[in-house]
Amino acid sequence: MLSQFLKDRKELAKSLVNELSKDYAYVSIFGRHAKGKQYAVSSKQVRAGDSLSLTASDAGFVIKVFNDSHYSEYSCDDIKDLTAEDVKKAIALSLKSDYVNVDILKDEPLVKSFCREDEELLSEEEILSYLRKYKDQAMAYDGRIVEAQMVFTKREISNIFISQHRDLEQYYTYNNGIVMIVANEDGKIQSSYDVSYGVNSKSVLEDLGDKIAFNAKLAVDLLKAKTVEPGYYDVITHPSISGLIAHEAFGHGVEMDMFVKNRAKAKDYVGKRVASDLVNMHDGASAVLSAASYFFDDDGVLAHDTTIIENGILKNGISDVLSALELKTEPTGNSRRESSRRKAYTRMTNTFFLAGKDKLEDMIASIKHGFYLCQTSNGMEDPKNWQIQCTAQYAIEIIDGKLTDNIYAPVVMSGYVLDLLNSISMVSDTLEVTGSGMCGKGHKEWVYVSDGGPYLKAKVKLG
Amino acid sequence: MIDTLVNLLKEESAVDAYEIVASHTSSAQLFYVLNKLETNRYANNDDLSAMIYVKHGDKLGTSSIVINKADDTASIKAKIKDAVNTAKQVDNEVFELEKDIDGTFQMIESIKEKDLSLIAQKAAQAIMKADVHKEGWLNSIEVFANKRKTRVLNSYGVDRSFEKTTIEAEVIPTWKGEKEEIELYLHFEIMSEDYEKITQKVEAILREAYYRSKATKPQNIKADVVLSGEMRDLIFSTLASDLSFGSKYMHLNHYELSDEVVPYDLDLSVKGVIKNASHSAPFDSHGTIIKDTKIISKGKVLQNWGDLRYGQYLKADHISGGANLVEVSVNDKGDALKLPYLEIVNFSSPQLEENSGYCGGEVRLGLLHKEDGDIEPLTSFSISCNIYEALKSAEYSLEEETDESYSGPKYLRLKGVKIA
Repeated sequence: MLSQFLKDRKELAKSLVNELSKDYAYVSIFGRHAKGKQYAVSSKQVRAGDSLSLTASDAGFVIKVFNDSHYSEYSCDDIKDLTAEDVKKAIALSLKSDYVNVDILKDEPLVKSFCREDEELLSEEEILSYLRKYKDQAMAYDGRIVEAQMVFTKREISNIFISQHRDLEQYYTYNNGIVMIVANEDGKIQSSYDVSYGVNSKSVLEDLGDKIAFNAKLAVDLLKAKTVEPGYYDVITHPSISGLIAHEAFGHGVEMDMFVKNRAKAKDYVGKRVASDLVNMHDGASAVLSAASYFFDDDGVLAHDTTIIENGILKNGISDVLSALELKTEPTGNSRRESSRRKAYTRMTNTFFLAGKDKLEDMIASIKHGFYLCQTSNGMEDPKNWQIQCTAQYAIEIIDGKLTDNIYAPVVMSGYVLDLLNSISMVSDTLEVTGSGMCGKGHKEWVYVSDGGPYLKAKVKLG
Repeated sequence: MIDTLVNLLKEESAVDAYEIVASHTSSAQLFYVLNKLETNRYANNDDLSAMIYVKHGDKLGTSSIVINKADDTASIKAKIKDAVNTAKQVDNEVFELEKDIDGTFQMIESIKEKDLSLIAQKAAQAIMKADVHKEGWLNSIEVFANKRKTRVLNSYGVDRSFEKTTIEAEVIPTWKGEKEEIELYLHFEIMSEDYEKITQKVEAILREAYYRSKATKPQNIKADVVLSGEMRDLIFSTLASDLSFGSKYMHLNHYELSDEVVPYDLDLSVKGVIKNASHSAPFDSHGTIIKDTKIISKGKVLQNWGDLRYGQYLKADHISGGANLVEVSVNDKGDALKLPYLEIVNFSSPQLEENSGYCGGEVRLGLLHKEDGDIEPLTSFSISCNIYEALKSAEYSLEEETDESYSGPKYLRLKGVKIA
């Protein structure tokens, strides 16, 4: 349930909003109390305790005001003893500047309280016992395995959002498991990793257990991995790679704060074809239950399920409140902050392609020579020019419609976004959203996200 | 709040030792769209965390706690008790914490101006000063003036602190090409009020944006590749990381003592403080004062480095502390900028996979410096190599550079890199 700290500050927040409203036409206060615990067991050491990252462990407030022509914010650890004068002083600027001249944010009445709790809580002893068992299993798999690390992270998030007409509160939990296994043979080192995720602790840890044997074998197999000869290939993407494409190739490009800054090519493509007609894509905190499933965003807008691509046509972007205001559209519940110390930007939440009608075996069988791309490593966006870079942890070669034992790692996929999306020729009838990821904007502002989709058949540049 | 935490830690008899890291950060932040201010922010925040150590049998248990304004005396007490219980389930090898034997540490040179809003506004003006082109402009600017005081104390009398003010900025230049507008990305953090330097950085990225607007896709290019900036930093920090106590302890290292890393006269040192390197810190989170430590000498591994925990586990004679910076020097550098070569100016995101040595990425701007001195801008291609192999025949520039975390030759030339 909502943290006592935020409960205790709600009345103070209302008073401060009232006080500041005498000078500012719009005032809101966002309160965040995030508690993160992390447990990590490896062959040589154990770590357990509060997560030191601000995204996971944070208590603080953001006071936002409409400052005649632009917006000003003050971030602080507590609003107890904070006066309206303190805020005014902190946000004052001494040098002249041009301002964007935006309107006043809407403040429609809404009072709501939301809660989603972990229903399978485990003791620390039980958590560490699961992790130790998995570590031992991995280390025993093969003599070439030199390290196995098992991590379990619990997150609890409480938020309040108070304005003249809004009084929102939410509490939710989310958990992640990570397995990372390292193999070393004659100085050649390779690693595999996988994730589990969900609201309930026990299920997440048991899912992690199902991944140990596969990843131990994979780490060893990767020791013989080759490098892909650069070129264009037919590929099948695993759902985690489909998600990486959804997120990096297209998702960042429809973050509408990029439209405001004229930084996204997608702005000119709304209503136009951007992908083959097999492609459907959504984003939203309420679209699925995953790593970025909150009830309202960090500017007090309720969670949405936004259709981004429908049958290959770009339908909508996603937005934070300020971008929506400047573009005269409705916000989509995508205002997100790294912590209570940072600005809210338009950020993705759970981003994924919808399933299609094809069977995976038919998709593989349709490829004469190509690759099956697996396991997300990382990616980078380029919304203005639609160049992409997505890295798969490994790929398996497909020859004459069959998966081979030939393994390649890592594999970098690059090219032009529309070429890639328009090349999608088959879409599997199953869908998986990987609820374990973090996303930056540029090179900073990290937030939890999920992404996914079905298996896709496409033509891409590798290497 | 620190005093309360210290007192409560001292009261809890099950706590054998503790380390506390505390910091206060003030930050003035400005966000511009097309040089017009959209949002200004000010942030004032404290961070406080403690690592609690509990000995049980011949093992050492640890557990971390984070304390913030949501905590009162009762909840801090409860967190300490919980951490003690957690630590009892953690069975790591024993190591000794830092003791107050040095007493002093080196202060780092930083910005003296106290008014962070003023610093941020001056930095924004310096950025906009470069925005003078008809076909190119700055779409978006973010400026952060940050002042951070960091203090580390422990139960053995260590109590050290340092303060640092930095200017951090993200700048998005756009250039109107014949077919479309293109953009690039600039992020930097500096530790001085050198506004002229800020303007020069933005002028340079605008020049690169111009080149990208003229760039074409390469066809069958074969050339040595010259790297600088972020990728160069990544290469040498990865090399240093491979030689850390942590990597060796976890069996993740490629090189052992005396192994040849490169067959030429390269020295690599880790450092705590380098003038104008904004990631400078005089001591690490254990409070260990970071000692300049040469880890590669004449191309061979001289010693490992790292914090006191892993250093003690490996029974190392010399504990450098957990350093953030690397310094590279090369005798007989070769000639990194000998024509022709392909200079990689801007990656989408440079990739370096420490285990496999994969190095590369998608290139947003490359400049092909031809034999006759002409420059051809190129885009939309990727490069890849195994960095551990490629470094063996690398050449370096005479020109040197210091940035956030690196000091040494500005350019690095690699042979045999795949270009696709």
